[in-house]
Formats: sequence, C-alpha cells, structure tokens
Amino acid sequence: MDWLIENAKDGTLLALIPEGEFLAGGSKNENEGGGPFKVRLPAYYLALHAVTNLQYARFLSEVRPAKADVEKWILLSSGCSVRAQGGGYEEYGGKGDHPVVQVSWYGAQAYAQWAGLRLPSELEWEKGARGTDGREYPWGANWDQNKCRNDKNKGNERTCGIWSYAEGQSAWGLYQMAGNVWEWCADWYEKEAYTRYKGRNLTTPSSGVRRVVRGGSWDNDDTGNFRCAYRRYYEPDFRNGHHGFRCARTL
Amino acid sequence: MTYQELDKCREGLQNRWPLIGASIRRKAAARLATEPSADAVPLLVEALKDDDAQVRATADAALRGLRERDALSALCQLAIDQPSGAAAKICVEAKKRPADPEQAALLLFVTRQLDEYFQEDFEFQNLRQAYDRSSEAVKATVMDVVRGGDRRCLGFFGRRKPLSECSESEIQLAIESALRHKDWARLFRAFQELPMKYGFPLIEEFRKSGWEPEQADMKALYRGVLTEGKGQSLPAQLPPPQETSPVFEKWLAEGKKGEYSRLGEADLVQRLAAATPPEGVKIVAALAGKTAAGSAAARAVETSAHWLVRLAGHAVGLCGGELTQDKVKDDNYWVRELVDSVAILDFWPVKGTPADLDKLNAAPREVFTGRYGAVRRVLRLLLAQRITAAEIGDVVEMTFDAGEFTEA
Repeated sequence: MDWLIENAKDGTLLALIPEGEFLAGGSKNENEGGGPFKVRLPAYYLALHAVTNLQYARFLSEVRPAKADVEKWILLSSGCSVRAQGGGYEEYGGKGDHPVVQVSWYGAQAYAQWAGLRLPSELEWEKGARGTDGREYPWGANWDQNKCRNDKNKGNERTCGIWSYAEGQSAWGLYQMAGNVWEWCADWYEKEAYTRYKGRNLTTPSSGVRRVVRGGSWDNDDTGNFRCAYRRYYEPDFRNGHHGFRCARTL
Repeated sequence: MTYQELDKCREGLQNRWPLIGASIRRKAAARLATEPSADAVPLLVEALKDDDAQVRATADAALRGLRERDALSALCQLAIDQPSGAAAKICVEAKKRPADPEQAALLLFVTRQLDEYFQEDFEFQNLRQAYDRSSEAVKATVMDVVRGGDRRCLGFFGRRKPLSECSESEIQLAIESALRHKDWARLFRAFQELPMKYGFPLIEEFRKSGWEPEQADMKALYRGVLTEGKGQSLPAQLPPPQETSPVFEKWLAEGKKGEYSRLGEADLVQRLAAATPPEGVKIVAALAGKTAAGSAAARAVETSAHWLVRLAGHAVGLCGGELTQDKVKDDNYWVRELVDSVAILDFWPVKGTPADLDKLNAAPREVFTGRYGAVRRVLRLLLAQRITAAEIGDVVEMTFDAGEFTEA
C-alpha cells in the first residue's frame, strides 16, 4: 500500500491515513459528543493540501459546465482568483497555489467527482487533522498563532499558498488542517451526530439542510475555530472567500 | 489508445460477472491486441493468467507479435523484474529483446540465456551499466545468476569497490563466500567495517571457529567483541521493510538526473529554503551526490519544516538516525514509520567519527542494556579501536572483488 500517491487526473497529493482508532470529539461545544471518544476508521487517503485555484480553473476548463452550474459551484467575483478567459478558465493574481475559495459544497463535490476522488467525511477529516492522540490542534495541545493562517497574522493578505505554515502540519503530514480556509466535508450536519458516533454507531446523517465545514480560516481570530474538534456548518450552496476544500480517496 | 479506453479495457479484463464476464474479458483482450502499446503490455501480461483460454490465447499472440519499440521495452522490463514470470517466458521463447543494448544484456542475463548473453556482451560492459542503474531486487537477481555456478559469470565482478558502495546482495555474497572458505581473518577485517546488521550475526560464527587474530591489539579487540556479543543476537523484530511510494521515488530519481543535479551545493541549499515539498525532495536527491551527512546542507535538510524533505534526507543518507536512540525522533508519523528506526544497525563503523564515539560514551547506561544494548557495546569497541589507532592511514579498508572481501 503506497503511503503517498499523486492523483493522475489533477495532481493532488494524498497521504495514507492508516486503519485504526483515534480520539474524536471534545467537550468545549455541545455538538462535540460531550468529551473525547475513540473511533476506528478503515484506512483511506486524504489530500496533503486543499484544492488550488490552478486546479479548479483546469477543472472548469476541461468540464466547460453550463452557466447555471458554474454559478452554483463557484462565485467568480471579487475575492475569487479564478476567472473565465477565452472560452476557458484561468487563475489570476499570482494565486495559483492558493486554495480555491468562493466555492460551494456542490462545487467541491463536482470537482472531487471529476478528479476521481471524493470529499472526506467529517470523522475522516478530523482524524487527518488530529492524528490518534486527541490533540487539540493539528500541531499539538496548545494554540500557536504562528502555525496557521489566521486573522492575527494575515496582514493585508487573505489566503496563503498551500505549502505555507509547514510547522502547523498534522501528525500525518497534512498541511493547513487549521487555518487558511474552512474545508467542506461530505457529511450533512447533524448536531447529535457525535453523540451517536460516541455510542459506536458511525452511521452518517442521511439528510439535512447544511453541510459540515472544518478547520477555520484566514478571517478567524477566535482560537476555538481552529480546534480539530470544532464543527461548523453552512448551507451547501453557500459561497464565500473563506471556504475551500480538500479531497479524499477510498483505498 | 486513449487512457480512457485503456481504463475501460482494464476494467473489462477484471470483469467476473457470471455468464457474460468471459465475453467482456475477451472483448477487452481483443481491443488491447489491436493496439498493443507500452501501456497495454502489463494488462496483456496479466491476461495471460485469465481463466478463459481465449483471453489467454489473444494476449499470448499479441505479446509474441509485439514489434513497437516502447511496447517491447515494457514487456522486457516486466521480464527483467520477474525473470520467472509469464513476460520472461514469452521473451525467451519468442526471442524478444529491448532496443537498448544495456537492457538487452540485462534481460539475457537474468533470464539465464547465458550463451546468447556472452555472444553479445563479452566484457560485461552493458550488463554493468544496466546493473548500476537497477533496483535492489534486480541486482539481487543478477547476484543469483552469478552464484548459479557458471564460471563465466564470475568475471562480472572484475572491479574493486569499497564495501560502502556495495549493494546488500553483494555484501551478502561476500559474507557467504568468506564463511564458506572459513576465511576468518578477512571476515574479521570486514566485520570492523560493515554495519552491525551484517556484522553482529557473525560474532557467533567467530566464536564457533576457534580462530583468533595474531596481532595483539586485534586479538584484544576480537576477544572484547566475543565477550560483548556472547549469547546475543539481533532483536528478532527488525524494522519493517520500507513501503513504497512511486511518486516519492519518481521525485528522487528526477532530482538525481534533472536540472537540479547540475547545480552546486550552495545554490541547491538556497533553493531548498523556498521550495515546495515535491521540489524539495528533488533538491535533496541532487544534494546527496554533492555533500555528506553532517554538513551544513545536510543540517538544512534535517531541520526542514517539510516532512517530505526530511524523509528524503533519510532516504538518500543525508540525515542519519541518532546512534543512541532506538527510534527516529520526528513529529511526523511517516518519517518515524518509514525510516529504518534503528540507526545503529545501518551505521558503518568505517565511517565513524570521534563525535560518534563521544556520543556513545556519553550515552546513559540503559542505552547499552536495552534492545540494542549489545550491538551498541560492540560498535563502541570497534569505534574506539578505529579512532584511537595510532594513525588513521594504518587502517586498511576492505574492498569487494570477484564476490569476495579483499584488502584495498
């Protein structure tokens, strides 16, 4: 089993997250299961990095979606570094290696399908962020504003390149599992999902009105947003300059 | 054939639906047979194992009829990698050869077509070139053929090289040869240079031999080694074999041969500071040929914030493990898992420095009683002997020649 793969379709690099238990959840918010609990997940691959503007522009150029689909997937306006150009799409502003933003859950899902990948479940995302030891942040127990892109260190910028803040990698070597952009997960949001997971029922919600996002963004200054266990949610058609995504793959 | 078509054929060949599965597989094999490109070759070779006779026959005919250069090369590479496999059988029976004369020599040698081989590569020139570029597994296959008993093959060695440049299979071959000939003096000289993963198991062989060196200082060292290693063996659970990642290996290979390989050390270190992880891995591979462990460049690799760069440092030997630790210390799971965590077993005493000896001397006592305690005690003896010898020039390094240890 390869520990690192490159997805041929879009060049995404994915690391193997080995099969086994990890500590999920927390007690700081009502929706975190009321304290850490063990979850066993099968092995899977999770991307080392969020999908970039360059990757997303290539996807749109290749798929050439109808106008209505483009609008549903991504808001090509101020704050987004992908634009229509000459019948195709391109990244601009020198942000080719920054995470794509202004992308909805539908836009994330469409990209993942095109690339032959998928969005991670929120438990998969959380294991990728915190390793097995239940750490609070990807890099360890304590908040360190220099280890991720956040409102306190962004200066006049917004997002940063996907390989920045290497000191803040998770135990598996995944970049920016905290900060830079909130990341869409595959799951519907359900407040009590973690209580159910804690009871060893790992069935994900089959319906809902909002989708899960995790990780915090460049625009946040509340350190709680960057906790690995912090669960946030948005309507799936929501698009703004703080939301991106990364892909996962089943073995 | 497009990649999409190729994927479709791949899926078709894997189809196991009842009733129509065989028909789908036949169609896929037939489609591949009409355009047997290099990418199609592995699929056709796989199809040789199909349950259905028609699928097997189609694949067999397509492979035997290969003419296109890249496709032939792909078939021959599979034969080289698995000389007892189906691809090799076809290469031998249908006299298939790659266009590249070095690869052709390698194919003939590993598939034991020795008469043909010696007609074409009498001086081993092509085989040696191909051998140096080959994977450890292929090198081991070549060694198996050399050991196969045909005396003409022994000339393959014909070149002396330091032990530290030898492959694992070459070292094993030389150890086996010395043991077979009960050449204890040479074996003990090699023992003082070889990493403990080879040397430590020899201690029991020395004990059983009844042999002793004649020189007084060597005798003292020898007796010390027998005492420290008495009744000890390497811990049964050696680190797991390194798992693969074709993409990581591809970056390493690109770094060794690509544009970075033409840059100087200082330039590479400067670029490393701003490189993405994939580029960083390539830079580390390029650095490996230009600097050594312990240099400022190696320290830049060792302290990189990017775990893939640190892992590359371990892979190319720029980052060494800590002699007094049983595990590599790194925040990253994969660096800890993939790097041979027991540095002591891979450490070459012949490359030991006073700093290494100081490190061992300053280590706490439990380091010498733990899992690898006996190994560290023996290594400390060897380093002390080597480093405190009157003149370093007195120490004669061993080389590997014609499958045996010799003194340089």
